[in-house]
Amino acid sequence: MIDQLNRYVFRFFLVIFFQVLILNNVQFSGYINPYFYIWYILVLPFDTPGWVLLGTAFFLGLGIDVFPQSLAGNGSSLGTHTASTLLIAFMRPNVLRWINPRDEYEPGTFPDSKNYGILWFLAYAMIMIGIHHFVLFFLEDLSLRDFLRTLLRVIMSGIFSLIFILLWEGIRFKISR
Amino acid sequence: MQNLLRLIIRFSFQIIFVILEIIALTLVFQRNPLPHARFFQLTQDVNGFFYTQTNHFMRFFHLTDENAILINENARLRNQLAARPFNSSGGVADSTLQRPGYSMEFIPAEVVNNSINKQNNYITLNVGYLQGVRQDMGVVGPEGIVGVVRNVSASYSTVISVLNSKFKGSVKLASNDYFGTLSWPGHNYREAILSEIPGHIIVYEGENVITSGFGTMFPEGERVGTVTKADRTPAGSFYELTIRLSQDFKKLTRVYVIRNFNKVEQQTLELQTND
Repeated sequence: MIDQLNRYVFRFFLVIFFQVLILNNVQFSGYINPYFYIWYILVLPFDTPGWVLLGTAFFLGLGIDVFPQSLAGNGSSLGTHTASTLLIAFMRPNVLRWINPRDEYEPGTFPDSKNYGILWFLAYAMIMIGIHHFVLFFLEDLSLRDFLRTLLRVIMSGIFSLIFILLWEGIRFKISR
Repeated sequence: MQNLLRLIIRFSFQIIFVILEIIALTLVFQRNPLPHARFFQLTQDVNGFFYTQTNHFMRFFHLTDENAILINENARLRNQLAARPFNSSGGVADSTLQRPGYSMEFIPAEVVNNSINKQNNYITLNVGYLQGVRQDMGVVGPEGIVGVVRNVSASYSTVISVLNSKFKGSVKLASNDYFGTLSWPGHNYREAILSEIPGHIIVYEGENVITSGFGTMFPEGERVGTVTKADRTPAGSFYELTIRLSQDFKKLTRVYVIRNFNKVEQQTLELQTND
């Protein structure tokens, strides 16, 4: 139990550093900035208590928020990651209910690609990334003036976030096998 | 009372969510920049350290481009030197003393963090208070203007990039000295908008745009970009020119912070006049 807790704490910081130091520096074209860190929220255990889920999401988002240049005295950007990550954490139980596989989720398993298959995970990740990126980019833009352009950013970044998350799922289960 | 308590427990998940989300959204919509600025100063040095480390590593990959840019810059400076009017006294005079309006110093700096894909982009430099950097100093790159210093810590500073909706710069057309305001509309990192150029003059495509020298941030004649498109405003009395920025912000690694020694004097005088 303690062992597992340690692993999640360690993973928490690892995800933030990976996002801030590596992915935030990835700028393919003006549209793409992958956000891998929400993977952490995706694969938390099924029986995570609600307050832990929300608390984790809050501090994860805040951890991402305080780092990048978006903070540089810019009042309109601090909090965007916090708000959007919180929202997907809040939606998570519902999303899991919508897309549950034919049988119920088995106790003691995790919502990842190893337990429920790559297709199930793909649908799950797509919904969660979609919600997260949509809220994130529109909060960052704070206007509906350039709706289509912001939507394009949501889609482009979403695709890359999805690729990173699926790749990582593939890699980590290859290693553990 | 007991029912209320039961209700709170039953909806605790929703209640916690609403409370935390309100906190997050308050941060988002908070317009007062002061707490952020203060908070930023705390985290800035830590961030700066990390970004310097990653930057040391990443710089390797840009060496070829970097050299080409430096060579170009050298060439341009040599040309300027050659075009300088002949100095009759013959000696090597200190040019900063001859033209008091331009007594400026260029502080070299390295970019340790930079973004181009946000609505409001910022740049972090590895020079700060100790190197003489102060708020509101102009920053130029090897190919053109870059931005204005926003926050300064002991050995780092952040810069409001030209690619930021908050950036406003006074620039002019090189050929006829008509001046206007440079701003960034927010989609293309190579393009900015020059407004307030009167509609009665003729503007050519490819015309050079340089800094006007008004204000205290930039000296006159720093490169900004070239005109690519000339639209008229709906009323028709002004142009809205699309400018291709000469500085490519994607490969920005070395810049200069401009320190104007006459800034305080000029600003004090201007303030008195406004009273």
